[in-house]
Order: sequence, then structure tokens, then C-alpha cells
Amino acid sequence: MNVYFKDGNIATKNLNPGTSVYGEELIQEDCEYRIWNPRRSKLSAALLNGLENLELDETSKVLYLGASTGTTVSHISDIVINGRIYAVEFSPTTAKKLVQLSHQRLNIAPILGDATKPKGYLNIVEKVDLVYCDVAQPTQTELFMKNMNLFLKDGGVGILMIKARSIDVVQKPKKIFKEQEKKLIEKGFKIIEKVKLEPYEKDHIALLVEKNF
Amino acid sequence: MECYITYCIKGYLAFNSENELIAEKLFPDDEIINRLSEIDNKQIVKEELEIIEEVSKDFDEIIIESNKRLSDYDNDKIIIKNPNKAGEYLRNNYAKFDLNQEDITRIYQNLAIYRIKKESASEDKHLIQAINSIDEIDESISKLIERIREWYALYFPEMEIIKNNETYIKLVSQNKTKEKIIEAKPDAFPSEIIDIDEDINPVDLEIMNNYANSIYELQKSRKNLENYIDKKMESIAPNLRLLIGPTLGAKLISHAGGLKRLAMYPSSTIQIMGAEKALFRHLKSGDRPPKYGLIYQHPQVRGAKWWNRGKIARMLAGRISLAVRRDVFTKTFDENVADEFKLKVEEIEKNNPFPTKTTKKRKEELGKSKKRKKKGKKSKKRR
Repeated sequence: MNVYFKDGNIATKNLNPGTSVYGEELIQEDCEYRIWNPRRSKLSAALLNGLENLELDETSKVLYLGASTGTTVSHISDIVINGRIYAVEFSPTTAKKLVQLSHQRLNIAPILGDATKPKGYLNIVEKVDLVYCDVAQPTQTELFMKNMNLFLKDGGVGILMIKARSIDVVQKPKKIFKEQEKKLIEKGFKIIEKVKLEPYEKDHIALLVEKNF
Repeated sequence: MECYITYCIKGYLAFNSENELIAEKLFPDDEIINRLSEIDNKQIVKEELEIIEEVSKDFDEIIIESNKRLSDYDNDKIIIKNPNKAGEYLRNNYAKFDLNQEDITRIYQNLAIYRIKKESASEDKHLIQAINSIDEIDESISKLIERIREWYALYFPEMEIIKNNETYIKLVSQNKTKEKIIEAKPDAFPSEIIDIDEDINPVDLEIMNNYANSIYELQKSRKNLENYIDKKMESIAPNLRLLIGPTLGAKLISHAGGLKRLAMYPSSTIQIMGAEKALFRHLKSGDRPPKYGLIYQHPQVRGAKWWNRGKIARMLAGRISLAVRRDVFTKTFDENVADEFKLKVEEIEKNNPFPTKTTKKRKEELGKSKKRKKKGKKSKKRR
């Protein structure tokens, strides 16, 4: 995977040299690198905390749910140079920024859609190698599973970023994580890896999931 | 024999049960966005009709991926299945069908831009912003007026007599000095003060006047907003406007997040909209549920006798539901909504002239009788 260590931080090769997407630091060496800030992007935090089994190559296809303004999307776009990211975002105002980003990076396909209703974008998304889900909704595990079933290639994986506070404010995060894992396993998914995102994000967990055939 | 039809950003494709491509109807290059947006709007596009016609000769079952209803199609061979076999095959093999090009990103961009535009173009979005800004302006005006009253009192403390905020601001901003204010409204002030002539630094007076002017402007723009809301409500929700007035109607729409969403809500939800705190307290601790939320602002509810308010609120919520649905779905105007509602209110008031026992009292009595029964067992249960 095209992720590099640069003085204690992780970084990706800039696909669009000379520009920084969200004000991140650029490092000039043999080519240009963009520092991947773990406080801005949960995937970076997960990787720094030792997420091992995620493999993305240059031609991987990714379905990204909850793309927002495209912070993490831009880094994945650095990694999957010749692949494609289908970035789904619900809010029209944030999607505007995402569309702007896709003008600079041609491997991003912005979609204004509702991740809880994957059939709304069924016919404009192909099967993907990675389903990345970061929507911070109480029902996010359910919608993640729906999307996995519709869009995951054989042998593909999914990443689910669970924010305990957005599922239930009152309950203990540990209990919530357990419940969500149970839901996944019941519906025929297998959890390959679990990574907590502390200290970058509080009460978050990243689950790497595959379909258990 | 069955065949499967699916579509992607390029056009419609038909496969047989061995996943062999049997027909394809591609969208013209410059029409792709139009076609996709038509599909978004649940229309049957030209290519779809053509491909159905082509395959319906040779196959007796057509399984199609579609977001439309079966009754929208004029063909009894069609079965809708989402996703179907062909779609799965197509999405697994995008590369085979020459779908992986650079300009495809452009299509996605344009489609996203189209959808963004459509979302922000809907009229109720403006209405929601307008009603929210009225609330905010109200809040700031009352704060600012507090300040100007305190400040202007340094120069002209007798102004306290004028209680109405609007006249106060108007007087201060339009008439620069104490003398002119008294001239403009001579009957409001006692005559003794006219003689007291106190010097004030013109710079101080100037800045106070400026400040008053800006509050006056704010009041003006509030009025503009009110008119705007009234007009907008008349065009997008005439029935609702007639029934409960433009401001309250707009507040309900804003609370629901859109006219259509308000129309989809059950009337029980509309009844207690804005009383969420009380509702959740009821759900959590079993307190009595709220009878009304935002619709308490309606004069017929607020002005009713307390034992009738719940009944009227419930009935009003039902009427609101009907009116909004008429606005959204049939787009007809019923000029009698308000009158019918008033008649119903009168009927309710006639039928219930006296208060009945409230639930609270009933509960207390029930509790007492239960306690009496339980008295014998009480010692066991005590912790």
C-alpha cells in the first residue's frame, strides 16, 4: 500500500502536486508527500494504531460512505491512483466541496445520495474491493451491512468506523461495540481486526470486516 | 425463457440467463445527465422502452432493475427485482463493458451537481431560512433595545414612559434631539420636563442615534421577512396558511425540515412538535405526555378553556395534516378549511362546558385505592 512514514507521521504521495486539500503539510523529497493527520482522518488514526490487514493497491475500487468534504477521500485517492472512489455524501452543502475536489482528482466519483438507501445509487456504482463506512448514525451498522451485500466484490473487505457516542449517548462504549459486533456476526460477517482510535478519537473503534461465505 | 435488464451510466443493457449480452441501448453522449436525472425522477426513459420492446418478442419473462412500480410499466411480462442477476454481473465486470474512462468522472460530477442544485432549489429551503432568521432577529432586537433604553436614559430618562418598543425606536431614530421627540409626541410627556435643558455632547448623541437607526433598520427587515414568508406560504402552502397563519405554518415546516416531510408526518407527531423535551420526559419517567407543542401558538388552542385545549389541539393537528397533504400532493385549494375548523372548535366547546376529572386526579385516586389494597403486603416489599 502506498503509505509512507515521514518523521513520525504517515503520509501519502500527492496525486495532484502543489496543492493541499484541507491545509495539511506537504513534504518535498523525491516527490511530494502529504502528511495524513490522524486527528482529521479516522483511517489514518487506525493505521497508526496498527491496522494491519488492509490492503489497497493502485487499481482498487472503493465505496466510501459519508465522504463529507473529502479529507480521507483525498488520501485514499492518493493510494488508489488508477482505481476509483465512489464517494457518497448526503448533505448538498458538503457535497459541493467534494465535487470541487473531484475536479482535481479524477479517480473520485462524487455521488449525492443517502447511504441508508443504497438502491438509490445501485446502478451507478460497480462492485468494489473496499467499503468504507463513516457516517456516525445510530443505524450505521445496518446500512453498512446493506451496502456490503450490494457492492462488495468476492474477497473484498469493509471498514466500519463506530462512534459510540452517536449510537447511544448513555451506554458504555464497550457494551455498544460488543452489540454492534454481534449484529455483524449474526448477519454473516467476520471481523478480521479491531482497532481502537484512542488517543486521536475518543470512544471510537475501527472494525475490519469481511463477508463470511 | 427469461431475460434480465439493467442499466448503468452508459445506458440500458439486457442479458440472458447465461449472462450473455443480448441487447443494448446506450444513452446519447450529451443526454446522459438528462437521462439519469429522469430516472432519478422515476420516469421511464426512451432507451428503457426501446429495450423492453426489443426483448419482449423473444422472452416471456423480463426481470428488470428499476426504481419504479410495476404498474408504471405497460407490459405484463415484467418483474421488478432489485438487484437482479444481470446487474450483479455487470457491476462485477465493469471493465469488460468499456466503462472505465476518464470522462466518466465528469458524468458523476455533473450528476452530483445536478442533484445538489435540485436539492437547494426547492422553495421550502428558503422559507425555512427565512423563518429561522426571524427568530434570530427577534432575539437580537430585544437585546439591542434593552441596551438603547439604558443608554438613551442617560440623556432623556423620561422616555421610559413609552412602553412600546417599536414606537420607542422610531422616535429615537427619526427625531434627533429631546426637543424634537417631545414635539413629535407631545401628549406622552408631562409638560414640566420641557423646560429642563441639559447639554449633551453632540458626539454622544450622534452615536446613540446611529445605534437606534440600525435597530430601526433591523425592525424593517424583520417586516420584510414577514411579508416574504406570507407570500411564499401563499404560493407553496395556501391551505396551511389559511388554517394556521403564515408564521406558525412556516415554523412547522421548518421544524419538520421541509414541506414534504411535514406532509409525511402523522398528525400525532405534528400535535406535539416542539414539545420534544416533555415527550421524552414522558417516555423516560412516565410523566403525563404533552398535549401540544408548537401549535399551542394558535389562538384557538391557546385561547380555549384548559380542559378543551388537548381536544382542540388533537383536532387541529389532524386538520393540519390534511391541509398540508392537500398542498403537497393534490395542490388544490380549499377555502373552507379555517371555517370548518372553527365550527368544530365551537362544537367541542359546546359539548364540554365543564371540566372533567383530570388524569392526574384519577391517577391519585387509583394510587390511593391500590395503596389500601397493598397495605397488607407492604412489609414484605419494603427495602
